[in-house]
Parts: sequence; C-alpha cells; structure tokens
Amino acid sequence: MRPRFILVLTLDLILLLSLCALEHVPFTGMTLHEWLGLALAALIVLHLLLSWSWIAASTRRFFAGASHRTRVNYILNLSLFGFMAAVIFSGVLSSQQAVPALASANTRWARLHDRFSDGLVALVATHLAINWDWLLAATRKILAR
Amino acid sequence: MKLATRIAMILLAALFFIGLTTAFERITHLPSDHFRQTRELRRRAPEPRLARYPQVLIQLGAYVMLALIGRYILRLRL
Repeated sequence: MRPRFILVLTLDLILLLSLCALEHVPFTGMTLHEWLGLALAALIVLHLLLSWSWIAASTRRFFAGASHRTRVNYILNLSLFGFMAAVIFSGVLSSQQAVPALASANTRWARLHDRFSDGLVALVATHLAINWDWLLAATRKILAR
Repeated sequence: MKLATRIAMILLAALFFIGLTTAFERITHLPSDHFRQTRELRRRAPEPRLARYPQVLIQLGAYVMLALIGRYILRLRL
C-alpha cells in the first residue's frame, strides 16, 4: 500500500477528530481549543496540497463544461474552505490564551466565530457524505491488509 | 507547479475569504452583548477533566449520522 494513501487517510481522520473536539469548547478547555484551531490551519494546507491534482483538474473543468454534479461539489468544497478560513481568522481575532496579542477588542468577532462554525458543521458533514464511498473503500483497503 | 506556488495560492485564497469575512463583519453589525455574557459564563465554569466527557465521540457520531443522511437519503456522491 502506498505511503501517500496512508498519509491521506490518517490526515483526514485527524482532521475529523480535531473538528469534533473543536466544536465542543468545554471538552478541550479554551487553551487547547485555540492551539488546536491554529494547528488545524496547517493541517488544512497539507490536506489541500495532497488533494492538489483534484483541485487543479476540477478548476479547469469548472470553466470548461463540467457536469452539474462536479460544479456543485466544487462550490461546496470552496465554501468549506471559505468557512474554514473565516472560522480560523475570527478565532484568532477573539483569542484569549494562544495569541492574545492578535485579538481584537471588538467582541463581535467571537460571535461571528460561533456563527461560522455552525455553518462549518453542515459543510463538513456534506463533504464527508460526498466522499463517503472513498472513505469506506479506503478503510476496507486498510483492514484487508 | 512548485510546492511554494501551491502554498502561496492556498494562502492567497484564504486571504480572499478573510477579506470577505471582514467585509461581512463590517456590514452585519452583530450585537456583542450576548457573546460577552457567554464568555463570562465560560470563564466562570470550571475546566472539566477530559476523561469524563465523551463529547468527541458524540460529535463524531453526529458527523457520521449527517454524512449517512447525505449519502444514503439525499444520495450525495462523487
């Protein structure tokens, strides 16, 4: 089995578990919540780099007669990225422990952080649903070793 | 395409969405009192011990349930 495949699957599972922990602040406590959120930014960049061939091919196809399904999936993934950027950015601006120097005095950012993270749950679940078959196949492949 | 170029493109895209978020914050003017109260409540609440709370499992279950609804009821797939 290719190490890249194992890396992709492991990274995806770490991302999912991290998101689960991040969605419940009392579980982690505020300090771990903030540091885990910052670490997530790096993991997302890695996730995107590992999916680069899909991103490049879909962007090209999006403007050159892609199917309706491909376009919807592309817009969903782009929205997920946008929401993730918004959640991390608003999280940094409302930070109390990890990067208080970057925090804004404007408390509306914290409220926006909550709103965007609500949207993120729906988008992550859709992302998971769309890639469910791949996830099942990948898990079967690992278990069949 | 070089790795550095790819990372730069990802960061630029993130910057674009950060710009959109800032614009959204400017135009919405969400009231902040509600959150200030929530933050105070969180600050006063004791930090729970990790082992006592299976919230991550509950969250994971919620994601999987939503994904299953999406995949098998709404028939989403690549």
